[in-house]
Amino acid sequence: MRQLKRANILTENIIFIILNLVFLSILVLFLFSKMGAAAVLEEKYAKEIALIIDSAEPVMTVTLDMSDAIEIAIKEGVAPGKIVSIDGNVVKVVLGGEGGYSYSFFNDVDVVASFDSQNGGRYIFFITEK
Amino acid sequence: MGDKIVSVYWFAILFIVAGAVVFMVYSFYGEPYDVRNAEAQKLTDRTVECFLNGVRLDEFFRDEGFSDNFLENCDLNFETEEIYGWEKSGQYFVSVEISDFVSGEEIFSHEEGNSDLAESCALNGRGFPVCFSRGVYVLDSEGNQYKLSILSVVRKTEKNVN
Repeated sequence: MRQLKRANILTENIIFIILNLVFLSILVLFLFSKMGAAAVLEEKYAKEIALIIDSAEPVMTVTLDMSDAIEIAIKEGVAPGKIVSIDGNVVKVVLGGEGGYSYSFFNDVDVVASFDSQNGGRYIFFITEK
Repeated sequence: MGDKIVSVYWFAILFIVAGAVVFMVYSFYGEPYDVRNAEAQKLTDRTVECFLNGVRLDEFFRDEGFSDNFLENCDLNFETEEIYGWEKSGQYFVSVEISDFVSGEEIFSHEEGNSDLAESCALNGRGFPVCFSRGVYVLDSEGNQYKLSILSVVRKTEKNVN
C-alpha cells in the first residue's frame, strides 16, 4: 500500500515537471520565433541598407552579412538573389511571401545589390555615381 | 489535496508569466526601428560636405542657379516610396544658412523639401518629425570666417513610430 502511494507521488511529480518543461519550451520557442521573424528582419535589413547607402560615397563597395535573413528566405522559398532589390532610391527586402519591406534613402547614387554566391550569406552593394 | 491546490496556483502563475512575456515581446518587436535620428544626422553631414571643398568653404554656392538645382548639386534625392501619401507631402526638409562669422550678416540662405516639417521642431514627442541642426565654423580660400548653419528634418513617422 505504502509502495503504491510512493509510486503515485513519483508519477505526479514527473508529470508536473514534464508539463512545466513543455510550458517553458513553448515560451522559449515563441520568443525565438519572434526574434527571428521574417517581418522583423525585413524591416531591420531594409533600414540598415538604406542607412549604409546614405553614409556611402561613390565609388564604394559594401559587404553585408545577411546569413540569418538568407536562411529564412530559403525556407520561405525566396531565391537568395532576389532578397534585396533597389529601385531608384528605394531598398526592398523580401524574405517571405507578403511583399517585403521598403525604405528610401536620400543619397543620390546608383546602387547595385548582388548576392555573394561564392561566400554565401553575404550581399555586396556596389555604389557608383549617377 | 494540498499538492493539487499548489499545482493549480503554480499553473496560474505560469500563465500570468507567459501572458507578461507575450505582451512584452509583442510590444518590443511590434515597435518599428526608429532610424530617423541617424538619417537626420547623416542628411546634415551630407549638406555640410556639399558646401565644403576639403576643409574650406566652396564658393560654388554663389553660382547662379545653385539654389534652383540644390538637390542635384548636393547629390541628394528627396523622393520616397509611394506609401501613406509620402510622395505628395515630402518627408525631408533641409535649411542652409551661411553668415559672416564676425558681422553675422547673412550671405546665403536656402530651404529645400517640405518646409512645414520645420514647424514641428519645437515640439517634443515620438510622433513628430525628427530635427537635427548643426553650426559649423568655416574659412574660405582667402581666410574669411563664416558660420554654416544646417537644419535637417526627417518625417517618415508611419514607418518609424507605432
